Amino acid sequence: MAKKLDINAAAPKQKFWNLKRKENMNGYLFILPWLLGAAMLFIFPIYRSLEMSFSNIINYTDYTIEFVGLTHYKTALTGDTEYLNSLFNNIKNMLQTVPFVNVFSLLIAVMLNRKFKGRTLFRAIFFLPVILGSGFAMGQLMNQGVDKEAMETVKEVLLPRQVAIYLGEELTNAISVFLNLISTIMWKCGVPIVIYLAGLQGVPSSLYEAARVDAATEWEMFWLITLPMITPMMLLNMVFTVVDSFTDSQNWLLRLIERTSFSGDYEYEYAAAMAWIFFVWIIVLVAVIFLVMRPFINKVKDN
Amino acid sequence: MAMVRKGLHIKMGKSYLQISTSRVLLYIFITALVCFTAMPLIYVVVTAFKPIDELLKFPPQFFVRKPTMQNFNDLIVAVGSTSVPFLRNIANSVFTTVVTVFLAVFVSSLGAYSMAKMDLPLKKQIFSVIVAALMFPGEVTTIPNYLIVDGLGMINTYWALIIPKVAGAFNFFLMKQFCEQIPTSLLEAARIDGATELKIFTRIVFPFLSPAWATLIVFTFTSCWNDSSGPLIYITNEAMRTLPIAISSISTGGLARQGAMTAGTLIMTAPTIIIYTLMQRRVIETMAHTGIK
Repeated sequence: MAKKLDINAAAPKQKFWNLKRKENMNGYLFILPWLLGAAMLFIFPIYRSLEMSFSNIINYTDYTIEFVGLTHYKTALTGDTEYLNSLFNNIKNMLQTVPFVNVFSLLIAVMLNRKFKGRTLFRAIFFLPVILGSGFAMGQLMNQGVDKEAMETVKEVLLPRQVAIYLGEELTNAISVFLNLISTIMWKCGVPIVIYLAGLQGVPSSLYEAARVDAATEWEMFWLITLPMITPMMLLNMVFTVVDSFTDSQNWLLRLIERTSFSGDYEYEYAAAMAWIFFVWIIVLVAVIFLVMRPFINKVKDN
Repeated sequence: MAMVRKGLHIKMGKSYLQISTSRVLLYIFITALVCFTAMPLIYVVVTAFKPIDELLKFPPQFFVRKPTMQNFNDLIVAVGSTSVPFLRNIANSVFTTVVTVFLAVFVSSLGAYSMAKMDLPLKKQIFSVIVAALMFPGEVTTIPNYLIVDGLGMINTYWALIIPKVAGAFNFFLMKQFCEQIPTSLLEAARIDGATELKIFTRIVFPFLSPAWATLIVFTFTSCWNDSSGPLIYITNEAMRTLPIAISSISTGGLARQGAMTAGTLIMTAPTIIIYTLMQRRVIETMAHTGIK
């Protein structure tokens, strides 16, 4: 690159506006509009919410604050059963869905990676929830319980009452729980599927050819070639699903946080503390995922 | 094919159409999963054509028995009775969404290019702040955001709906990952030929990023079009209300408005689906590319 050349070494006098500085200047000019917007309407508000979580708002017109230390954090972690309950439920939910989402999306990605007719259409449909999931219309429907209605009718089709009677109550319940789970999970699979697909397409085909020469079965090839080769995508997807479940607007905890800040007592400071506790937990979880996955990923690189 | 496969062989003219058992299973399985994914969407479409007695039926039916356009008529009546014409709501939504999408694509590709291809001091630090910010849900910063928008004097202006969405962390992250793929030699060649940085950006970088725009357009469009919290917080002037607010005010009319509501929902969802369908191939490609690197 031109700018890497050390032009200043040759020149006897250094000008202030040397080439390097000029180029940096250009770069900053380019990034400035975005940075300005992000700093003002994105980074600064996050910082403000951290500040407020340690304080009490004393004046609601200009939001002057008074430092109160860890009070809100103490209340949230020791006294507030509603918060603790939803926090634990959320953690439980997350630990359940993350592995399921990963297994399902890997399975679907493996299927979509085969060549068959209508593959593009199927891919588009699996990605659709990502577009619709954040939608206002969908939110309205979910609030009215329409998704549950839809599920009920699907169940009727897949498992008619006449059949259900033969299977017995317990088995029917188990099946309906399973069906509910699938639909929840399928709606979170959009992005992970695409990431896995990209990973699968990056596996060199020579590896499979070599394995086929050695008479390996499809099953063996999956476990010994595909799976080790896509561990980086697995890591990416784990982190993605964890973060996604945190920022998902259907999240119970976020609803609680919103309710605390905007209705009733307008305890925004307390809501901010709630959010930060959750945020720290997410960061810890992501760090743990990194630490656990790291040895596997390095192993692939060595081979 | 020399290899003989197990499965079904169907004679079609002179050749045999081979359908292996595993392929049949693949189709069955994948179709079942697609059904689960597409179900809510189909339900939205079908429900908009249900007459009121079918809408209120319990247990609800999935498919419509006697399709009707009544809901759309109801919608027209319902929005006709409001003080602000419905067309104004639509115009508000279209205007803010289009401006936001345009600015977001331009600003984030400009910034992402300089982040990916120029070596700025502090570049790593800026990037890690962005990645951390990706994990933070927007709902939590509503009040500080309001204070800033208020401080800038943008309350009750269209800017309040546009500016906060332009500099998104996700947009920037996606664009930056995509910018990494621009061959550096191409940029150097242009530099040697004496092109200014701005010219390089408009002539080389911006066209190169077109698949990434498609993705940004879809995501930004969806989030602006559907945004119901921004207009509620920043806008008090009724004439400036956007579509989501207008439609959710219909649903406060009670059971009688249920039909109008379903039609409104369909109309709200339609543009998103159309945009996605137009750009779907590029969206999925971009998501895949930016995933690897």
